[in-house]
Amino acid sequence: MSLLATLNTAARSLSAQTKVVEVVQHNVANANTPGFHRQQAVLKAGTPYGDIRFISSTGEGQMGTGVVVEQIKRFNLQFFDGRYRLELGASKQWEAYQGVLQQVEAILAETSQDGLTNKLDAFWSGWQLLNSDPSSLALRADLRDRAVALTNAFSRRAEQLQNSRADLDLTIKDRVEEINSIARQLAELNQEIPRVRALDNEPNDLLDERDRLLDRLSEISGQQAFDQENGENIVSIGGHALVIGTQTFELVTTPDALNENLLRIDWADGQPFTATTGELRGYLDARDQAITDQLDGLNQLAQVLNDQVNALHQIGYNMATPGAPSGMDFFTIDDATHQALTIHISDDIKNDLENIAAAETANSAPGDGNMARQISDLQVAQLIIGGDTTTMNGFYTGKIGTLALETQRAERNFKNLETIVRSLSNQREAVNGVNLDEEAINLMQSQKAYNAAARVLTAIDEMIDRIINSTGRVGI
Amino acid sequence: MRVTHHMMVENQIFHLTESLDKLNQLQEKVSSGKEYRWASDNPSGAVAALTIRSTLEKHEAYIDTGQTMDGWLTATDSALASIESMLGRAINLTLGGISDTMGTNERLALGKEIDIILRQAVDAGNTKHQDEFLFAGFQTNTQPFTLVVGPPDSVTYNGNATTIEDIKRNIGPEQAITINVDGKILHDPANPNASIFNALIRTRDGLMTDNRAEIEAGLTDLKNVMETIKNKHTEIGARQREVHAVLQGMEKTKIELQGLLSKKEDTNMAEAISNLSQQETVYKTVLEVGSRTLSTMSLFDYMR
Repeated sequence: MSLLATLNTAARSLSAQTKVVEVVQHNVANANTPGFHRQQAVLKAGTPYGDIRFISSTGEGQMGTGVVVEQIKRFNLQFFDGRYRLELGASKQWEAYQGVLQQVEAILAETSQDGLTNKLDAFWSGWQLLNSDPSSLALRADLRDRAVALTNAFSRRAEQLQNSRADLDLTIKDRVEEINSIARQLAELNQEIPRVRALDNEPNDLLDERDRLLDRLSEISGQQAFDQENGENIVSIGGHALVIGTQTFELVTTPDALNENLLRIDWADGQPFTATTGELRGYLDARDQAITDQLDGLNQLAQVLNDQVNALHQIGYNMATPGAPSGMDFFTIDDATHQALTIHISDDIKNDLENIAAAETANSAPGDGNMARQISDLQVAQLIIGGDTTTMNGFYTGKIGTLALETQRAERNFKNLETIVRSLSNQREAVNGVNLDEEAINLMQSQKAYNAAARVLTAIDEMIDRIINSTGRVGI
Repeated sequence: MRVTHHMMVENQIFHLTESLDKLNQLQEKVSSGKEYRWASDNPSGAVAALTIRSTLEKHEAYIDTGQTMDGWLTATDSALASIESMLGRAINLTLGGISDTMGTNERLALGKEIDIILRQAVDAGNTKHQDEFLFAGFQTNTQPFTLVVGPPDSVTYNGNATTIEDIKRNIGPEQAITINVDGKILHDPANPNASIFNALIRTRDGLMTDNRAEIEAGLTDLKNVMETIKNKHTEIGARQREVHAVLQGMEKTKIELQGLLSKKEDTNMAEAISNLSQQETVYKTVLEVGSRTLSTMSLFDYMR
């Protein structure tokens, strides 16, 4: 090798070390970037240089040509990614679910003084007090107030539960749009990544981007991603393809007439969408099961209350027309499918306190409070509500208990999964995260190597200087 | 395991949040005085507390009605007691009047005395309790008895029509007690012989007209109605005792329920406060450790 050629070796070394520093710089800069995978410049000795005609005859063998950067390696373990995303989806599912359930609990506010059971108890006590002095208009007014408070408690709860279902719809729509947007970005990456690969380069930062998108997709709905040889990814959700190559299959939301006009999610090709995990599953479960269950409970209770009280009230005798059974309803339900929302006291009761039928026998009035007594006894009557034989209070307390247990279960599941996700995330981070100390050491190492290469370059420079400027001057 | 700075930050944040969350829960326990805020914090406790509170509410309503019932029963009791003593006096007078040693004038005087008893008895039959007539059945606003001055004198009944009407009040769930004595027990227009007023009128007239047979018949009637009133009086007394016993029991249960409710829902302050101060120390430690580890520099700080 010629002296001049060694300049190349030195130059290559300088440039390789510069590249190493550049990668360190990139790592340090992205130490806090979510989804960033640590990179490393892999150094390799340069292709040896050996001229068969001159060198082999001397038997000195091939000469090295210094160092080159072989590739920029990206640290990643796909095994961790899969496990992590699986647990992440489940954890997000329970997080979303428990968040909604806590809201529902706050709406029902059963542990406060404002609970429905309190109002129900007060209503029964109202009848009982009326029984002790049936002709008293003050007690009748008191009973009517208690009944209004009770029906208001019913409708307020029903309304707020329906509102929170509607609010969930906004979130669900938002998430569906996010899935579609992620699908489009993944499709673009499916175009970019194979292109860079074809040029024999590693598209590290594009891969980071893809991992970040897949993480987010796992949070929203869970996903299955399969790597193709050319670098493309096939992504599907719940068995239906979302992205194949550069083609996307998007989701659409349409109001569902069978479900209070709340949104239902379908694939654009008409197939029904099922979220197996992730936030969407949590929100859908909460919207269509947990909240609906509480609403159904309220509706069943309102219906039973309405039916039972009215049945007795109709055959009771009031003060206004003491000669015949009142035939009047105490409660009215306007909409037979939204009982809790639309229950209120009947107009007859609203207009005239004397229409309250407290008496059991005709023409008796003032002292006869036996019907009031019978109605107040409904509080201990064993009735069939929602398939169970129980009292009204017992039924509702049971519902509250179920909700409390479900909320607690969701909370525990979330906490447990969160711990798993955290430890998996740490494992992942252990492989692909940036450790600043390491980077500092790498930086020092390359700096030293760079300095050394520069020194070598100076030496060669001096040698050339010697041969050009200081030789052939004998005797001058 | 390879540890990165990012990992340390994340872990630190996690532990800080967790510690703060615990601190918040304990603080809420202490400041609200309640063991839990939402039912999901303690489902079984919350459901038990709900049931207890509802039972407590019912108890209070029953205690309320129990006390008014007691008022009615006491009023009825004293009215019946005075009627009973009037009848006793009338019987004594009549027994005296029937004696052969009595002359016409003396019997007339006795008759006048019984006349006064008759008026007192009508007044007693019209006894009011809290502005309601005790002996009018359900017609508590109508004065039940009116003395119509004859001759012949008679008493009309303006209360309930034909049937015996029992005013029932609940002393417990589906446990009703009749608190009134129907006016027809005192005076039933359909059965004129079983009437205290008719018996008094008959005796009075017998004495005043010196008709021995009438006096004797009146005496028999008086003794009969006396028997009925005595029975009713005893019955009312028994009911009053029942109400008292139940009330007493309910007051006791109420106190027990309140204790139970407090045990279920109220914070054990000693425990909560010591936990709180312990958690405070934990939180401070986490903060302290965090400030040390996170601010620990990396190797970069030492490079020249």
